[in-house]
Amino acid sequence: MADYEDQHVHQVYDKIASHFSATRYKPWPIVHEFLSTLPPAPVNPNVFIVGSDRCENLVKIAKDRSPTQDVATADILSQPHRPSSFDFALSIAVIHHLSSPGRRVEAIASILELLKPAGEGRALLYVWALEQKNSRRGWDENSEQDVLVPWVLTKQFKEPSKRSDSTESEVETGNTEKAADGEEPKPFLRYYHLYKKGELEDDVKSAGGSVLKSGYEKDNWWAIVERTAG
Amino acid sequence: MKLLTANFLSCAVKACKSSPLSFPLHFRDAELASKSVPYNPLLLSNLLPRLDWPALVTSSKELGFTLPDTKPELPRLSASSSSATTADGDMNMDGTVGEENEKTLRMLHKTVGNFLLPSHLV
Repeated sequence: MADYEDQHVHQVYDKIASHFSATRYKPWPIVHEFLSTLPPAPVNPNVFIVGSDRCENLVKIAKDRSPTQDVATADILSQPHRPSSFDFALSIAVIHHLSSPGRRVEAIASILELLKPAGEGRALLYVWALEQKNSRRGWDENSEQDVLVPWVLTKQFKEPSKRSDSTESEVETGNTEKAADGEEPKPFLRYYHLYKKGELEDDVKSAGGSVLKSGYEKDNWWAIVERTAG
Repeated sequence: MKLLTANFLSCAVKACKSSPLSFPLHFRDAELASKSVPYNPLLLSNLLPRLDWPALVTSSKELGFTLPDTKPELPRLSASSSSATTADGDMNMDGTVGEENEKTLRMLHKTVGNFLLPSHLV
């Protein structure tokens, strides 16, 4: 399982990090709302945040974005955050990259573990939804849940050494450009487990957490959770 | 990596988490850089109660500067911009951070903490 994730998640993100990061530039509405309700009310400069990601290249991009945040490279199943000490945690698009039910529950348990007890600490979790009929992926509740999803690097994010001797017109063709040898560019395939309705809540309970609020937003399931008291 | 970050990190090895040695991590051969940041009393008044002060004092000694042994009280702190700068400063470190028992030394690679573990420790 760990080897599979290394090949189909970790190595892929290391290669697509710049492009991936460039497509994520503002907090999703529910993330923004969650952060806004934390004491103190204003979203960012009054809260000290320690972030981590498995992908070193994404961590490098996040480094030094703000004086009140810091980042580290870490695996969700062996995270270095001090247990029972955090007021809140955000996990966006992480849990769905674990490739077995047991490992996904373990990932949620690992987030719950760093939170203060029920009533003091809570986490917002986001996973990709199976039900996204209207997205360009077009999956619905009958689709396969464990999938490899392609990421095609646009030209500007390719490693310079691998660039062909492009003419200007080739540069402008963007996504559909062909490689120097005439082959279609190879997409990077990322492993995902697509969550179906109710599954995130079930996993949270199995991990020893309670769901305070949950819902669906733009092709994702989300849940605000805390450790189960007692 | 910032000094304050070390106050919220422990050893990443699951088997170590219950050990008192897993926190705080210790700085060795670290190079300290200081960067001033805007004074923000609201951030400080929220941060201070959440800091493990003895651990911060330990970290500061390892990095070659001194903090008072007891946690400053909030009113004094917000009135004193010099101690505020110390607590709020952006400290970057190059070097190694690891547990006391040295089992799990992690390089701070280009000032970013790397806590990925070799497979036998996962």
